Amino acid sequence: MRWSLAAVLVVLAWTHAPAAAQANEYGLSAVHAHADQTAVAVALRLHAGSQDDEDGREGTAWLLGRVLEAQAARALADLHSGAAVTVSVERATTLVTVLAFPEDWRNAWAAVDSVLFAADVDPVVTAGQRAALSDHLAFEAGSPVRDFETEAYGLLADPGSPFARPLRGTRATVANIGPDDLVRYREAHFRRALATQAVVGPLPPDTAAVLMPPDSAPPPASAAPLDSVVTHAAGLAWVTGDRRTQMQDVTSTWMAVAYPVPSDMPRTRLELIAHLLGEELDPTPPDPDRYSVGVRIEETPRGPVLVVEAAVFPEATARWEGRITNALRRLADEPVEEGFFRWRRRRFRTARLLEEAHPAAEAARMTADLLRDGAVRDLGLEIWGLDAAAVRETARALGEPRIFILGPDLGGSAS
Amino acid sequence: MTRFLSALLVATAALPGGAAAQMSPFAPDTLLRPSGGPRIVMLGTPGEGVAALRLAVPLREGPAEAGAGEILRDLAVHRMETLARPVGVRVSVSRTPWGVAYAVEGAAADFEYLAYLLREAVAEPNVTGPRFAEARLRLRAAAQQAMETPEGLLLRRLRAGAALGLPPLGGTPATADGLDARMVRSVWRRSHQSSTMTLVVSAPVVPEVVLAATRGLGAPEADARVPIDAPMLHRDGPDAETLRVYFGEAFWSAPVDDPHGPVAALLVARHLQGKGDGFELGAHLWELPDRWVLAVTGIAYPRRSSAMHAAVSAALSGTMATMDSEKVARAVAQLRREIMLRGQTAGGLVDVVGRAMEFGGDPMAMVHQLEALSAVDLTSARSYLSHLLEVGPVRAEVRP
Repeated sequence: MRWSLAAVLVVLAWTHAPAAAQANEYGLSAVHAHADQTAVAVALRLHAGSQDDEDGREGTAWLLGRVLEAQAARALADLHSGAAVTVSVERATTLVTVLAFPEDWRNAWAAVDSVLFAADVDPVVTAGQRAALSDHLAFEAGSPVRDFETEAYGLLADPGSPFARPLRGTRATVANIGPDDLVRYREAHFRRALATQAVVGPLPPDTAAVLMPPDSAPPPASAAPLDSVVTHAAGLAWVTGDRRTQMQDVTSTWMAVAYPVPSDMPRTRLELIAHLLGEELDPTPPDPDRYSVGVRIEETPRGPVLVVEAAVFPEATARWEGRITNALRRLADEPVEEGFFRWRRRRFRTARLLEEAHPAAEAARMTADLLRDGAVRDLGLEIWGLDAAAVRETARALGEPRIFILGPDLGGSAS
Repeated sequence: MTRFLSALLVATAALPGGAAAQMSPFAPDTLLRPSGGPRIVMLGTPGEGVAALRLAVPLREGPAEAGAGEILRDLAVHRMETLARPVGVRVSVSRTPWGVAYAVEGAAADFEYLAYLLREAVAEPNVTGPRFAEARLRLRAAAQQAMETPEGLLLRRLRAGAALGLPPLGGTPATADGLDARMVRSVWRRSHQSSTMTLVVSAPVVPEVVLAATRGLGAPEADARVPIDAPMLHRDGPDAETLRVYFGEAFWSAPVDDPHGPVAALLVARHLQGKGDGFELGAHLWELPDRWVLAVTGIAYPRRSSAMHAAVSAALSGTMATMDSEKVARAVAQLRREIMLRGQTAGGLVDVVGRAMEFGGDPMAMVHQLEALSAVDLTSARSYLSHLLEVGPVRAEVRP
């Protein structure tokens, strides 16, 4: 009796209505109210990333992110509110997240917004952050991990595409960047009208209407509409697969296997595939020949790509390459018993729930949803709606992989 | 059933504190006190679809039993992880100054399973298998390690001076050797009584479900009611070898829920930054069952030893002389942020509220601590540091 009662009471607890997207000065905004949350998370995703760096000044977006994060943290500290800010620069976007107490999140966000869009770029902070970045790049110079990263991103974009350039630039390009470059980058690429915003926390229902700080400037007339952000057409990022190897005198082998995904593929399905692949490739206990393995989804200029990266013992290179490609093939071809599928779906759902239990993580995901789809997903409903057939269908829809392997020459085992 | 339940329920209106305090996410929604069962504190649910439970078990060790709680923790972690992994539930077990806390976090739809994991966690430990021997070895290795490094030895001596005979939570190499299966089982039987436990819940379920899921927790009514009163085993071993001088002063103040302790520690730590001229300085804050201990330590080669001693001894007075309203306000803001960040998930919320409750048992403890923290200002911080200086420190040293 008691178990059935419990089942009835807790079932479908995650089936809240999806947060409706609203247009305002930030392009698109969405609010998700959690009455009992201890913090309010505000995330703003700007359509500006390292791919927008000027030639010869690669690293500008990254450095600007570090400088604005430091200046915004100082502004919040002056408020004594206890709020925290992070700025995360990616290739196509920049994500700004603020976590604040419910009673003063508006003040905290207004202070951060002011730094992002209006405050002077502090030359002293810029010099300090540039020196730190330069030291970091010097430390990493010659690292095979960075060589691998550069080549692996090259798989995902057209030759010469700015998308594949080093996210943080090089020591030479960073040395060219001054406060004026940061200001110029910000004026050219930080557009409220192209940004998406999400707020998660204990909020009243009318929060969306008052998201903008009152003293904010109106969006510039030249700002493009939000729907111009997603530039890739339906279809696959590439049609023909590829395989490249690079020999280097290193003690590990790094490999990237990238699958193009139809751009109209429902995102939750794709995330389930990534989760299942991750579990297949990295079970407990782990394979003794692997140092690390990860699966992620990349938004490239030509569409979404599912990327598997692994670092393995060099002698295990061929086996691991086969292990990755076979894992996906099995998902596409082998029927899965329904009960087994439901168990794996349950694990996927729990993992997503725990990940998004952090309001900042949920807000960040909501901004990505808004940018990509113009709407926020109702993850609970979508996950319950997945079935084994959808997994097979999704796996079959992926295109030919592009493979890149960097490792030592073991007499042909890596090639 | 309804009548039975209504007798147990304590409405939020009956909780102490004003309306604003009761609206705090750190304030309980519902308190339950089932006969013979754990005290149950139900909080709101910060995230949708997530459930978290934290079960605190008060545990006091006799001197000869020091480290038994740590062995119980070790055994429970293994048991819980084995069961949690297949469904992706997060589990943790922590030894606190007041006992052992078992926590689970997962999907609300798995609430029954989460409760089952807690029942397994506090069930009688298997003290006859190889896991027990491994846990005891780990305990001994950790205790030995702390004695073998000069810094570990200094901190241990300072703690012993400030804690007035309280056995170390991690035991000593000698107590670890003396902890046999019978003693650990005895500690479990004595401590893991359902009626002494406190369960903090954040889950979208009604109280009836929590009551049903938590019946039969822990040990049956035990005979032994007090810790074994045997003295702590001591064994002389070689002192840690060192080339440098390690010196420290430890100040204490009660009660442990006074937020001035962490504020003072933060101010002292910031004051010490950059003050080490040819030596190292550090600040440590320890939570004991009834008091804070603020320790300032220094490490120097013999030629800089005098300067290091002076810097350690001047740490609190120097902090007092240089602090201002701005520094105190920033320290308060940082501590508030840490509480907010820890409490932002269901798992973090039950941990923050449950841990605050372990001292004193007040379900509103976290709310009151936040209020008290917000009220800390320059005057009260000065007064607190003055009090520490008046009482005076315990000193310890490890020399080459």
